Amino acid sequence: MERDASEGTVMDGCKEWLRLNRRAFLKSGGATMGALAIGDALLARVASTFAQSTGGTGNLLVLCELAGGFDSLSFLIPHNNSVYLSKRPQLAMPASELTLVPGNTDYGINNQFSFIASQFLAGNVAVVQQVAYPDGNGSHFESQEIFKFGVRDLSSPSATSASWYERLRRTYFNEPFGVLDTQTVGNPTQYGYPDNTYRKAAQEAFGRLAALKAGGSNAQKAVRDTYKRIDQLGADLRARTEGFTSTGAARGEFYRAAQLASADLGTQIIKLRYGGFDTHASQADANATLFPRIDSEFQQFMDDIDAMGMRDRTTVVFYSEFGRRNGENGSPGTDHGYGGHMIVVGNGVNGGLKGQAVTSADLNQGSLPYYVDFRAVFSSCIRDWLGFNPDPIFKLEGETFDENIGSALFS
Amino acid sequence: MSGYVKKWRFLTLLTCVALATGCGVDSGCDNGGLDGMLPGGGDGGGDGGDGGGGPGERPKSQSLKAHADDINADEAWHLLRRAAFGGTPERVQEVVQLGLTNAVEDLIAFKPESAAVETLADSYESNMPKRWLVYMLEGNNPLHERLALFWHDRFATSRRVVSGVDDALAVMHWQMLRANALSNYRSFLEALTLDPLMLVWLDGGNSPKDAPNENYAREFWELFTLGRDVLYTEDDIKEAARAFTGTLLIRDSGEPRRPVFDIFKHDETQKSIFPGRATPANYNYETVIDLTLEQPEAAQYVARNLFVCFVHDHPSDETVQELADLFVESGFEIEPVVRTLLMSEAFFSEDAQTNQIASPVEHWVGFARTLDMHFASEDSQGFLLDRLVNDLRDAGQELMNPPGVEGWAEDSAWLEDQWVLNRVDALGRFLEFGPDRTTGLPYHLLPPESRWDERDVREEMVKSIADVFHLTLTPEETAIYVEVLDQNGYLAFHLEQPDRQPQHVREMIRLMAMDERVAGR
Repeated sequence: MERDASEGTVMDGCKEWLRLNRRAFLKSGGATMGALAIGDALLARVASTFAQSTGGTGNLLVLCELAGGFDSLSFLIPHNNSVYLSKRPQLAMPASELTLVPGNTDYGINNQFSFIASQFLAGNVAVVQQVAYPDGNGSHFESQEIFKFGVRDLSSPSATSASWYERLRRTYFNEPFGVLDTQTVGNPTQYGYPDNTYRKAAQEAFGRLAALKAGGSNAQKAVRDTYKRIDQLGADLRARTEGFTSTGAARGEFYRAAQLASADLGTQIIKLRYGGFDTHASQADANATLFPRIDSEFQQFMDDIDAMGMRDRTTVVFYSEFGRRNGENGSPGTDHGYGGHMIVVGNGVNGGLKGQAVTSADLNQGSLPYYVDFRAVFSSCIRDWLGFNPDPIFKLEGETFDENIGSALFS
Repeated sequence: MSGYVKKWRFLTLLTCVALATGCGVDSGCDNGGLDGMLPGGGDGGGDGGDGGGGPGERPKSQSLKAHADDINADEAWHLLRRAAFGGTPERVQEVVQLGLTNAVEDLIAFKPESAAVETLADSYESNMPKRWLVYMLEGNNPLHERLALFWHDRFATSRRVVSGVDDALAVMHWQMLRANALSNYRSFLEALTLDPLMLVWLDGGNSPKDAPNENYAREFWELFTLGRDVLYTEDDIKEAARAFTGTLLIRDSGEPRRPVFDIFKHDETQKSIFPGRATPANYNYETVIDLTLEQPEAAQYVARNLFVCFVHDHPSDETVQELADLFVESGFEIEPVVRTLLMSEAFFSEDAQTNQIASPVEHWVGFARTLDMHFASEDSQGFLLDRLVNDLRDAGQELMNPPGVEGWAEDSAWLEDQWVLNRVDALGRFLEFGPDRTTGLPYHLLPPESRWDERDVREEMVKSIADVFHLTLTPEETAIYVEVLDQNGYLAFHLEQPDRQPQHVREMIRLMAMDERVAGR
């Protein structure tokens, strides 16, 4: 009804926008515009042309996925808790191996994360405790998709056609390199037409052929224009990352992230992923290798960012598809759990323990429960760090969540 | 598979019987109303193209008259690309030999699939993207697959709305699309309305008569039969939603859900639909379909869609009407419309050349079909298909999971940078894993390997692949492709080491497949 009243008077772009929203609008019985089906690709494109001027802070948000199910109880350790000690006879860590949370006798941060622990003491780390989403799913695949798409209901094709950060890009900052995933880009010094040969003759030929030809149908011109754009952007990214030198020797995903940040191509989100957290067995050994490696590679990244003068503009979020079981198994490791902690690091972060502190009652359950929705944390990052309204990204049709985190994530 | 189709017909019959008492009292259910509108209601057929009687000569680009039966290789290639994703040089020659009429009949005739193809597809169970790619590439009925994909785009549904044992509903949905792809539009719409995946997707299976859900009624007109804001009003949608009630999904223990029509769950009162054109009646889903197809706008909508699918995006109203008349005269058979289109002067006109951009799936299937590359039995574990499905999803097209009710945005909407790069990856999979995983790499199209140490062979190699894609390369373009073989002179074509060349050859072939004349069509 609203649609009929307005359609005659608005400009074409708006008409398209209204049309695309109509279904959701009618279904939701007249919710606010922001709650509509913004995930739709065409809608997002249209919407983005309206959003170009909305600005944002221009800050950088780095998303570090800890894939496999990160054991939060091996990060922030309730070292005095008798339930914890009894449930983890072999895996429990003593206070001597922890950096104790100042003014708090209950928790300490695993010293295998020595850099993050030092940042915590400096007030630059917020640990949001017991985060998940409603009705937990124990499948890596499904749970990772829920975090990727930012929806609980994976049956929504409009939401599952693009990650939430890609939807954010299309909605608010349509730069082609606005969102970069280290896994998709691979080595940025070789970004572009995928050519596996040593001298990149095919990559070069791809650009030369597009530039060489003229004429043809509109469809053919559109294809060639895209090729030229890809070639140019690839050349930019290659040229701008080629000269990057890291402060350290590690060449992992955080190194890739630093390369991408150095290119300064209007990137506001960098996504990276570390695997190996699915520690069903010999967890102590696995963590002893994994945790210090990530911690030191992260430190190298922050040093690199510092050298670029971007330290104050960068926030890094660590998250995982689920936590692990409170009790250890006989292997000894831990099986798939539910709630876990998200770790937010940066000079702009309002440090400290956030979310819901882990109690004996929580530990008495099979897994840590869920008190904070992961989308509340990402919403805060979008709103308070990047300066965009997160509602169109997460508040899709049928998706509801509590936005409460406990206290502010950013100062 | 055919059992599935038969089941539908059976079910439809049953519901007709169940409805008979309700139907008798009002004219809305009376098929006689339709007969009155149709001249004869004949079978339709080959001479449809001459019907319609448009005044005077129209430009070739709008002409539905039959094109000359003799076609050359380029025209045969055009036909195969538009109607069958692509074709090998041998297939192109075969089509030239057959002539247009026989070639089109050959494409239209449904041929049984080989046991090997069925077995391979079945091994992927309800994983529809994999199953379907097997049929698209290896099956005997590329036109049927092409049209099933077209209808999938028009009647978009997603397998993501179901899970567990209901995953089978996606397979059944595809079987329904494919079985009806060239069949009768009326029975297609009936099958679609009762399709379990569709009943979940657009809430038709959850539309109680005391509070009907309008989702299906709206899309039925907007997307499936009339087009956006054509003819129907918001009031019509409310009325039609009541007419569509009674379609339910029930589950027998451990089985996928199945549809039933329950007369007691159907709103048995009068509905006023298209009040200016029809009298109120106790419509149900079948009679709403009948009433909709009685409206001239429906035939026009379907005719225009099919024209745009195969020919170009600017059919004149006159051309659309001629095609719509043919559609109505044939009793809404899709096949005569498709036959007319594929044989028309418009189809071979300048306007219909290179004006489409193939979707990632169509591009990849066309590439593989043209170069005669196949899944080997070693891929029964799905090694290659796993990667392909992921590549194609990352290139913007995950089969059975379109981005929304309106299907995929087409043509230039495919040209997102990252999608394009992932498309390149998809094109490379067969070549990359070929020696280990697949047979029939396109090396048979190249000069024999024994000659690969000859200096002039490089130009010949480039030309041989260009010929397969019916590309005429300028000397400058040829030189660039030769440089790819040469790797900028650094690893100058290994004249003495032919065994080190395939990687360069693969790069050359893949790059040529990305040419705008190959990515477009």
